[in-house]
Amino acid sequence: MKQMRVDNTIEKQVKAAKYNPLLADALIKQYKPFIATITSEVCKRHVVYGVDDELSFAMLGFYHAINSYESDKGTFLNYAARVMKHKVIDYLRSEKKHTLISLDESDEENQTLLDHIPSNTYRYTIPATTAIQAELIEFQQELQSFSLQLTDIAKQAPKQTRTLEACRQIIYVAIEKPSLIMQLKESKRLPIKDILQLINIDRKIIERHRSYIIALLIIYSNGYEFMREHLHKITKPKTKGVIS
Amino acid sequence: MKYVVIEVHESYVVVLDQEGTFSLALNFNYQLGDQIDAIIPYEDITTQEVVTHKRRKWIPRFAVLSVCIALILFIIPTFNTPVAAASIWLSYNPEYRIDIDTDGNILEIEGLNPDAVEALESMNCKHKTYIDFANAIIDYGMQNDTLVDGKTIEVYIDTDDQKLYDSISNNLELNLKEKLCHKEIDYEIEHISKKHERKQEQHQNQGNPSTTPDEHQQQQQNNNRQQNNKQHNTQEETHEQKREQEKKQHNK
Repeated sequence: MKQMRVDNTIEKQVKAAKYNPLLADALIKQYKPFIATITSEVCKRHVVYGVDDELSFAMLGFYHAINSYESDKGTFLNYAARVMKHKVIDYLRSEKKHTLISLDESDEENQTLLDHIPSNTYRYTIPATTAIQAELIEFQQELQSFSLQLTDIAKQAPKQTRTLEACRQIIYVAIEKPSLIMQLKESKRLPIKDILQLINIDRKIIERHRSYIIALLIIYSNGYEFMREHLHKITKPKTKGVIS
Repeated sequence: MKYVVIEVHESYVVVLDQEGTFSLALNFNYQLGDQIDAIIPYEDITTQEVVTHKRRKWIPRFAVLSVCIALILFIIPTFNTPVAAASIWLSYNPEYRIDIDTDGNILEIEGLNPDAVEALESMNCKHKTYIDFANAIIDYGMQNDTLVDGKTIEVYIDTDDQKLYDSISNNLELNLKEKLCHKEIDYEIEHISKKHERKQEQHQNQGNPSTTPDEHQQQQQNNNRQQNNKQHNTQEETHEQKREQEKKQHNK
């Protein structure tokens, strides 16, 4: 009876978290010990968060289980365990395909193989500095003043090339006309009418991707030098802040 | 392509690539601001799965044809349009009504006043659940200053299924709590029957504020009887007039 009550509670939480990365992430955090147990069973060794990549894939499996779970698939935890195991096994199989060689053995020039391998994996290549982190925290806070969250912006951002290009046109126009960004910052509203006067674009594109456009316009206001440098592929390099 | 980590969560991070695309990626113990060369997308299973079809064995053409004919003649016409399991009214001045199925997917949306109709024209509501829609209209309201501190979002749910009602109301409550935690915006979630009860009470009170509902009904019946009597009297009068006229004519 107690077990049934627990299952009902979990199922309610899972339903609420479906297709909602933020709620799903909170649920994953709650079940970290469970996820570690399942991963250890598959790997047949103790695994540690922040060290073993298998745990990241197991968390991805848990997320997929949240989004795909239906009550006719049994209890949620049993279902999640199956999905996680498949995810971790797939990862281990893909790793096994590569020949295992020691990365630490040094050659005649006292360089290890690790020094020669190009960084083409999902490991970080350049760690963050405190200045960059401060800029990103400021960016998050400024988005919050517009009632925007990065997770939602990422989920709703345009995916098609044409739409992305249309949104970039707005950025180019705003860089040429700084008053648009000033208006945005003062009123906390996107000046759609003014944008439509300057550029021939479907209003619906602006309405649908409003949060994405606002995020990019904020980056091109003053104080986000690192992010502007990072976006050099969509604007001219060494672009200065619009509002000085 | 290089990515920079701009937000960190337990299982995923938000990254920004050099072309200005924001994405969700699997978290490999990243820190805020880390720059990486490749990511594992943190996507829903439906967008990530790649269905690989094995080569099917050859199936006789007549079997395929007969299945197609059967589909066209017998099965397709009997498909019913999806039936709404529940209707939800969401209102904070723009007022919307959505019909959903048992899984919470939206079947139909209707704007019930001009503000709502205008808002819907700018929203992409395909393949959304009622939670996605509720978030979308809240964001829209905040952007347009129609949903500000001090306002209340009213939610009414219409369904005969108690379990479904509980599920919808709990999910909406959780979602609204999180969505509005930094705002002074209230919300009310109730069954539609309570709204109807309140409306009925209002109507009754407007008719005769000093009477109880029973007295009010009695009064109405009395009024009706009086009206009927009046009609009857006028009919009798005209009938008498006619008789007098006839008498006069006869005397002449």
